[in-house]
Amino acid sequence: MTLHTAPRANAFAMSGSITAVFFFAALAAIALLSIFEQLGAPTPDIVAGFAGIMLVSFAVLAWAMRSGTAGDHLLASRSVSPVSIGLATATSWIGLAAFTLLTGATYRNGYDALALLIGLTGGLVLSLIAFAPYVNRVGSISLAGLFGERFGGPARLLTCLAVVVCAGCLFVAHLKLGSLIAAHSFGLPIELSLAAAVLILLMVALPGGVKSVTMVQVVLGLLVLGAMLIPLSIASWWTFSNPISQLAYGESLPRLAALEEQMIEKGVIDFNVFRPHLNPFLQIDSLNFCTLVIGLLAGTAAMPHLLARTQVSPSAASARLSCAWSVFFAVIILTAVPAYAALVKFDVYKLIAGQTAIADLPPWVARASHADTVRLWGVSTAMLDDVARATRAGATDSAAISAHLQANGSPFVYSWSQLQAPVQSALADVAKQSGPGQSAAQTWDHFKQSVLPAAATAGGGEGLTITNVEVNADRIVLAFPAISGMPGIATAVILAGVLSAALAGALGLLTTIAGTLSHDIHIALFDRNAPGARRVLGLRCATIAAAVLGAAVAFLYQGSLTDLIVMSFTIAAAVLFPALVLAVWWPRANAWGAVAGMIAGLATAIYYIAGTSEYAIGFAETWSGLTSAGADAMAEFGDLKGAGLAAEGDAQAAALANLQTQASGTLFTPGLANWLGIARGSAAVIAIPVGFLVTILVSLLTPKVSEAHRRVAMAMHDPRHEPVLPFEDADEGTA
Amino acid sequence: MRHGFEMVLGALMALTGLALATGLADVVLPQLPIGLGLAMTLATVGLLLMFDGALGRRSRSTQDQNTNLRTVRLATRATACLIALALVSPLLSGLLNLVSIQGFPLAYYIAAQGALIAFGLLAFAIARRQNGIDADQISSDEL
Repeated sequence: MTLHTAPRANAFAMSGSITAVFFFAALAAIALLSIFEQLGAPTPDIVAGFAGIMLVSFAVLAWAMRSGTAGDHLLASRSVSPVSIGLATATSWIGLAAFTLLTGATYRNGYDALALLIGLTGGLVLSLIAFAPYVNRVGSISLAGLFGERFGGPARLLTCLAVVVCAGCLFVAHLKLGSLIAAHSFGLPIELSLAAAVLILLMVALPGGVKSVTMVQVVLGLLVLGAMLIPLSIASWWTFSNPISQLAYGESLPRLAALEEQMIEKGVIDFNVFRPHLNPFLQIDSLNFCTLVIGLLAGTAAMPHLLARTQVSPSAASARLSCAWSVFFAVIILTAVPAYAALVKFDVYKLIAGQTAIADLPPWVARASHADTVRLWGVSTAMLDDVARATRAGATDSAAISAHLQANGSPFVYSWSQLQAPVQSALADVAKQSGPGQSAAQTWDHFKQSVLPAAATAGGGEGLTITNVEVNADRIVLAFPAISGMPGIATAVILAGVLSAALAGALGLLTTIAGTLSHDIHIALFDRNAPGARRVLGLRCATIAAAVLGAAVAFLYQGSLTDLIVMSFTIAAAVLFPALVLAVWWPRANAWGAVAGMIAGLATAIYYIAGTSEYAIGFAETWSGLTSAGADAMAEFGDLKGAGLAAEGDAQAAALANLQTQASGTLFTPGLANWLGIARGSAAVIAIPVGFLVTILVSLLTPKVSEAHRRVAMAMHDPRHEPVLPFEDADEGTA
Repeated sequence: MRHGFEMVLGALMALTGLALATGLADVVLPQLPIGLGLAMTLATVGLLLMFDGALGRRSRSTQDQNTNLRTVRLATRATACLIALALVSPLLSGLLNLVSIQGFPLAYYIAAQGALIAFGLLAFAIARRQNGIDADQISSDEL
């Protein structure tokens, strides 16, 4: 212990000074680019310049953190300070989601989306209470390593599989979302943006493994924090004269509610999509709100890459503090999410409730339209720009323009095909008049005079309503500086923040996957006595393989990101959570119990998810006694099915499709096929008790744990226990 | 005395919660304005309290400063706090929304900020307490 104190103190101080240097470097870059902007540099150049400077500084930092020792590569030699780990964990965990999906969900669903914020933060606290410090005492590099020490070989292999799938799904989601945003912002094709992402990941992860990744994550975290808070504070200062937006936006909530009432009175509401912002349980009922929170709590606490992050703490006490700091930073970021949603919603609703005429549209609508965050009657000036490019290339009629949009990877192919002919020709006419050098203000004027009236007429001639003002809710943070009329450097900072969040998240997941593949499969199975250099080589190979494979899957995967995220959480909560609780807190739990419990949890979750989606009709009939729908609804369902089967041909197919819709419901709203009214998004809540029961029963029925495994269980609760890094001695001289 | 009270209270909460959840309470209290979620939470928090009280009694009867028991008790109480904080807003939203602070209806405020800030405080409090328990154990071993 005493031997380690001096280098650790140095490392703590080092991470502090790196953060400080980076902070001032970033400020200098912002100041420099602001001067360039004042001198007339266009916004895209400022954005690209800032992104470039940041990338170079990450590369330099990663190179400075290079190392040849296995201790650094696998665990950063357990020498990172709690505040740094907290910042790295929080921003890589919820950064990207906070910028995109969480703000989008809060904008669309109001109160109901807050379940996500509560669950994601609470999970970090649960990890602090139950897992992180105790796992830290074992000193294994991943969850699979811990289960290997505590339960032995078969449990290690099964956990490896669970960890790789669980972290892999999130890795693909981060890569996909991050590269889509980069591709959209820099006008790159998606292949190129994915390839760039892989190169950047390897550039950071290869030189020093977990050590360089953790240090880069700390500075990425700083950038994420700044990007999340600064634009919001400025906007809050402008609107409420209070820079602490989390306090200030409360004022806008009652006004938002008043606007909603006005909109209802004026009849500009479609009740299928409208959700009053402050009212609970319009999208999901209270039971599913609670189960969603519980599922997220368990999933976050057992999430393998978050537990791996706390392993770089020197001691259990330090791991506890780093968890507490991660909660602190997560709270700062997540309390900004509803503020963004409320501020943008307030502006949009003011527009609709005031029945603003086309000629009187305020300037922010022009900017939002230019960023394609708001579309009025299905059109935006961003779309006009793409159409103008097509007409300049010689496309004249609708089909030719559509073909040109498709060939250039424009995001407007589908929306163009949905427009009515008069709107298409109005767009094409305005596009022909506009030259390449035309300013955004001129484009907006033409757009307002010709395209919007045509689109409004085609849309039925009514004013603005909640359906014809479409807001791309997932992009509101990204477009926020542009919408509020801040200078281009603010857009650059926020984009850098979003991409940093994606990078930080992907890096953490990548090192966890690579560490599991190399250390818990290759080393544990085939090469137990490998010297440090071979361990480093193995880890580097695994990192390259995992990054390339992840990018390939992200390119090929066409399904929804939500499915990937739900799958990842379900595996963490249903498979890993019960086994982890019992591994840490119940010395009697043995390998048989753990393996049986993990399989039972997985099987239950899969059965419930598949049963309530693909096979919903059969599931509803089999479990009619357990459904929340009631006997009458089930009887009616049976009658409908009888009638449907009696029909023939198309009528039968239509009847069965209708039955399937009734039975399956959606991810967070149960259909007729359910147990006690729990939707399939919360399947983990059903699987967790099953996992606990099976693990406990099987552990009690099979022989007691072996002495070696029992010692590991005891060591987890022994404050004097210091883990040994088994590979440390073999590393000398390889740096 | 205190631990006994905690156990009895926990047992009552758990029983009430379970009775409400399984519908047994319908005989006495038909149409109670309380959902399945609230009933289950009541039962869970009650069970955790009962467990905590039982551990407390045991630690008193053995008369030694059993640190492992203190660790388990702290973790149990912290988990009960965590669940109660996480679910107080959705379960009591109707009641909480009668009050509003600085323009925030209370249920919305708790879900959007209050619970999160409380999580932050809880996290630091647990870290301090548990690190204190660990330090106690190390120093008592050295004596």
